[in-house]
Amino acid sequence: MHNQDHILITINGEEFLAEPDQNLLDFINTTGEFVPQICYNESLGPIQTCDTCMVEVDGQIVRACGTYVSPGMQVNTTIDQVNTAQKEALDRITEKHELYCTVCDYNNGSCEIHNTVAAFGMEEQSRPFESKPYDVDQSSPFYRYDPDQCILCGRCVEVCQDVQVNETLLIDWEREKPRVVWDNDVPIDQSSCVSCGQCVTVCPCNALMETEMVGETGYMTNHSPGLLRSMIDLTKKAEPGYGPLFAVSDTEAAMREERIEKTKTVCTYCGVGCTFDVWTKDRKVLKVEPQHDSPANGISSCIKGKFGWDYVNAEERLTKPLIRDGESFVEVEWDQALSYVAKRFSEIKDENGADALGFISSSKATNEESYLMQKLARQAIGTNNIDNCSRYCQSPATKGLFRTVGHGGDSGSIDDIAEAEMVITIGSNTTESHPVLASRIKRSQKLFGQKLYVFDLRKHEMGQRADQFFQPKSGTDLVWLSAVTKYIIDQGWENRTFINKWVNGFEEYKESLSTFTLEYAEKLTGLTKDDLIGIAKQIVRVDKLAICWAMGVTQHQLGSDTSTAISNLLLITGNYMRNGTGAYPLRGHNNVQGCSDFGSMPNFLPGYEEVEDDTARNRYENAWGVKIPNKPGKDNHEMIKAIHDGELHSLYVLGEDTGIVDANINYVTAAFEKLDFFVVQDLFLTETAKYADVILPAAPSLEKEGTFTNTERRIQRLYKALDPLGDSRPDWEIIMNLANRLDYNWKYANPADIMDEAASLAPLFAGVRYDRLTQYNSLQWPVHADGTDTPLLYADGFPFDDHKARLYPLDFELKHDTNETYDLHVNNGRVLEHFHEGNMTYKSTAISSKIPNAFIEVSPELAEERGINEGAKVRLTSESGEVTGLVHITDRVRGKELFIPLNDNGKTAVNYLTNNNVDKDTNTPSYKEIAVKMDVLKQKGKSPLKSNNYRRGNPQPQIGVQVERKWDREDYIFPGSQVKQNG
Amino acid sequence: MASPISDIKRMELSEADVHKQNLDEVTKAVSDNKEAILKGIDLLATINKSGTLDMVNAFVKHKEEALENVMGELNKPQYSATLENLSKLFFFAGELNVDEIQYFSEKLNHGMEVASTMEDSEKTSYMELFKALKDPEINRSITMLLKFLRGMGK
Repeated sequence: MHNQDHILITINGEEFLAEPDQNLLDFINTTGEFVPQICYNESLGPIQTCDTCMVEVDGQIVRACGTYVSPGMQVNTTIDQVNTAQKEALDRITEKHELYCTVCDYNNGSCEIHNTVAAFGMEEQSRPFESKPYDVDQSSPFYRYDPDQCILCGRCVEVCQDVQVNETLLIDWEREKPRVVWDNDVPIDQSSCVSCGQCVTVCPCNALMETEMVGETGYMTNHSPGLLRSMIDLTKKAEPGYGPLFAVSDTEAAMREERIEKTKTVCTYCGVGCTFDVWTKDRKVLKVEPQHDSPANGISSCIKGKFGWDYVNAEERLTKPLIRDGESFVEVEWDQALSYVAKRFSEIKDENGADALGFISSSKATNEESYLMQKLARQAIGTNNIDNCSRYCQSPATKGLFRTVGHGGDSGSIDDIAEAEMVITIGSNTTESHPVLASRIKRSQKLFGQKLYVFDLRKHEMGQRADQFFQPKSGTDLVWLSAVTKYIIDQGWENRTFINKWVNGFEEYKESLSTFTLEYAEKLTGLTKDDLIGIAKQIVRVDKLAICWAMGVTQHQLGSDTSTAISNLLLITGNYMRNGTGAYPLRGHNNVQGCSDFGSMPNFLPGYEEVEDDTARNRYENAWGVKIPNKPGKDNHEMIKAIHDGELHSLYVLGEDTGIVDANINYVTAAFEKLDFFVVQDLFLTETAKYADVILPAAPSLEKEGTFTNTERRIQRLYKALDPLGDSRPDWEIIMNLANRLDYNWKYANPADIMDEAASLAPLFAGVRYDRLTQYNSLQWPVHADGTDTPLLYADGFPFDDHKARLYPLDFELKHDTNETYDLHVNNGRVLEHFHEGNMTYKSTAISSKIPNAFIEVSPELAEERGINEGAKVRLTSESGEVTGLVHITDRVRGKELFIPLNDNGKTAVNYLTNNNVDKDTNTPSYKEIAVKMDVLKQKGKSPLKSNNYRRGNPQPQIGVQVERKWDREDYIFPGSQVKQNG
Repeated sequence: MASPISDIKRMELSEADVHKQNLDEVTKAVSDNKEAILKGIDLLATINKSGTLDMVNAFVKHKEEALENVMGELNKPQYSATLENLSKLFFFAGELNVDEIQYFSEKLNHGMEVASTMEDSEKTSYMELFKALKDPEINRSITMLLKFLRGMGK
């Protein structure tokens, strides 16, 4: 940057160059000058509640954090008046917060009150600590609030209102002793709190703390409350000034590092790819701490990532290999299990050929493990029958993008979604499925005027927040998308310059749109002509549009085509190639992107090179010393069919509960029963594993190294926090063990070796290396050999020969509907608190105490029509099967739409209802197209939605902590003015 | 044909096997840390001989009660002055000039030594007092005391 872009300011007589409009405190922090600061947090910005950052600016004492630099500004941070004002502010804080550091669970080196008071050199407080008349709120199973230690800095409120945007926390400034309150002053557990834990993460002291931390971190903190109290009193008596007190407590804090490990890891739940430090003491997970430098999430987290780790130590974990023997599984040693699997694989291959074996990788496992699994299939067995669970969700989105723009991934980063002027979400319950990403949209909409248009069957939170919410008829998104695109072209509003320079096939595409008139769209989708025109106008009004979509689009028979229609619309309006624009298929699992990226696909080698591409295939054949079949293998769906047809005899499923998550599970489990040999590798005895011949006990993410790739195509490293439990092993080790039993001499010492091999073979990952991924460093593919990565795709053109994108013509035919017998439509999706079939999250007693089971959402109008009330028990029957469950009546659904959370593996498991219909282009099951009839078994009962569920809370939206209300209090004096009065 | 089952037959390690496994683990640790273990035994023997081991053992077992007693006691009002004095004393000690005190205390010690030889019946007359001023040792003491008094009054 040039000098003229900077301005000159003077701090303590020394001249500095600052950026225009830079926050003064932010700037001072770069100069090495010390100014105390407690409420200020680089992730949250100025909150202006703590008053400690007093400085003199042009003769006036002001808060540095509330001031922005201006040319010629004279700043003094050291004169007596400033010092006195700072001391006064710190006195007010120590009046509210008792410093008993040595016996405090938060004394881990990061307490910002402790550190600020120590750095300021404060020896004594002028006024004694004054207790507040409130009890500790211990109602939540996740965290507790101690008003007595709270300094009312408001960081928790700021993060809840404007970062998480759940709008639960506020400070009641008007009461005699202000405090943080939840909703309209209810206990935490009864509030709208979604337990994302971000308030706890940003709390500068021990006022908000994870329950698991209490009494666990210190050497002297695990005592009965009475004893702790007397120790606090004694600490204060015996340690007269803060100098000695801090000397003792700092030593104790350093000692804690001996037994508390802090390990960087990547979340194992959704595709957002949150990273954080996990604190462990022996095997106990004490806390999860997201970091300012976490690339995808910053300080943010959701209930699962922050608190959902109980499964790692669950007693249901498998700790030894199991072999089926009659009516039981028998625990055996690894040697026996591995030999047996290798022997059976070889026998089946000899007898029926390599294509009689099938392999399913896991979107929960690492990139390295996906790579090894496909290598096992292709090299050691010699088949392309390898797939992964992206088949169940995201393959259609990838297909749509390949057709039009050439890369199967998000166009940009989460930052780009936040930066867009307009965001459209289609078939995505973003707040529950991708909570941290949704918060970025919610924040941009709340604070920065981003327009949010939501298209969904269900009026979930994003629908409620949207500027415009539309409920098109199920499966008709392609129609309104195409009609809006056609209308834009008809009006001449398309981005001509962009299309001329960067897009092929315009004329042909324009012609293909002829059927998608407004009248046709109105008839099929239920959106009015005015709606459609309004949408078109809004889209062309903005310069930067990002479209996010998820399973509501892809899990239909026209999932690929609808994804294509989204991309077509973006191309017509020039919304690619720039920050703040693009296509964002929100990936569902932590590594659903990476599992496909690294080759666990029947038609793709790693890096999306076709197995039919001779050059690419030869590269692998040379490296591995084998011939690889040159035709695509079977995908998940085809494998199940091939079992029924007697063509597939063996299946090896890694980390996937196929018997619950695949569609039409009666059909799937019937196939399992027909297998000659079935290997399941998992943490638990899952529903799928119950059908296995051999079960191999695997280790979860906290117990191994590797990398995951999030929805932004961002590759991130996880480090090992715990040893594998019992005799369980990381998946990559197990796969390597098996390959070696099959006489392939694999010698990977660690996952870094595997990544090196993958990077040397797949051009998309050429520059991916572990030393470029240390700690919070990450790479977004494509990664060039020199390590340059690609946060924004297509900046220099599209990955086709002429660098131009392609418009892809589509037509439409409604593929499913309800009928007289099956008169209700069942929609399904995630709930915030649980993940997938629930094998991990139901192991958390805290999470289960909030939401113990799935339920069936019924609209008020349907409930009235059928004469049922909250808690009624119903049976739903489709052509494939039936489920029973308890009814929750809510206007999130309307008319004859039902909704079932997919997170259940019991009688309410939605896949008893789904059928064998699939997306015509990718074989992704059309999970969202179920027609059922409903039988009432009991007309009312106890509500399945517990009274302490956040959905029953009463959020209190406001912007920030509203510090002005503090300043308006009669007893408030600005420390700077007080100094002047006294001075 | 495999129907779903969920019964697991755990690998039953006999007590002897478990015992042996544990012993193997311990033997390996001992062998890997021979020197530390031997020093540790020496240390244990030493504190056992002095009876300290029993005391420490009892204290650890009753840690919570012991702490409670001590804390309860120390938090009583009568100790509050002592505790405050303790810390004040700590700061006081920091302000003392130890070199000078040493000089004074040496002199004091000499004086006390000689004084202790005094007989109960010994007396000093006015004349003897004046004469004594001529004694260089006594004169040095008196001068020093006068200077001290002057300094203290400042």
